[in-house]
Amino acid sequence: MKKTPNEEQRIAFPSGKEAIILELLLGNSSREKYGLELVRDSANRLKRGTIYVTLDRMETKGLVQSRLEHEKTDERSLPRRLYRVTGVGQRAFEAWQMARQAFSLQSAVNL
Amino acid sequence: MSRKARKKKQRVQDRSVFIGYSMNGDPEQLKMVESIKIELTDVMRSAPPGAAAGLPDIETMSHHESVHEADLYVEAPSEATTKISRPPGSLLRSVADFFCSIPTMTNVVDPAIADMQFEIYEALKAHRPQKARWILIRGYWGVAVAIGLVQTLRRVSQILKF
Repeated sequence: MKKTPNEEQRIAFPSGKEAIILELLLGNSSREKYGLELVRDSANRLKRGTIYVTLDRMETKGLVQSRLEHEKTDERSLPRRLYRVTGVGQRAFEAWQMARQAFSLQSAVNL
Repeated sequence: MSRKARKKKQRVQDRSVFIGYSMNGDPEQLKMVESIKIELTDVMRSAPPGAAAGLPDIETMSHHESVHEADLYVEAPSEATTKISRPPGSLLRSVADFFCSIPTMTNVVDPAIADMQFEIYEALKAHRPQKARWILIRGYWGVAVAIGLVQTLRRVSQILKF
């Protein structure tokens, strides 16, 4: 089925876990990070078992980009994968933050 | 003595020193050859397998020389052995390779194993083998969960497509 122009332009809205990953990747240093690094920085909000699956899904959505590290420290070990946020990911995170703020304001008004 | 040790001893006895010489039974020469045999055997047993470069069997070192017209051939098993070990997570990768598709391997399993290996090497560098073992167990569990999650998500998406 062919997608309509609106569907093509739509930015994938990040889930809770995806938003945490985007937040960590867009953090202070704003540099490429390894999956394990993200788990360490998340203070138990992310788990080892789910991080790579979530990152894979985010890559499919176009929220993050990954590449294999150039220099291999040891020939026997596998090269590690580095992740960074794309422009789409950045906009999606901004939209997510705005939505969260709007929702919290709405909740405050209703109370 | 444990079963393993008994087996090793038996193997050593089976492949014990072999000497072939052709002499006329001169007791002096025999005595000398015996002493050389013992000396050579001790040297070769204590030698690291790396010293046997070029030999087909790293567990066995052989030596051949001519002593007073007697051909002396000594073959002794080296007690120093090298354990050839594969990098951590290689078994897990082989198993995952059987079950998972290439994209799953590239995007999920390989990064998980690579990070686990990095963490293990860091722990070993810090002389913490217990921590390395724990990381390995945790890594296996993490990858198993990741594979299970991928398979479950795939099945769910297939069902939703119908």
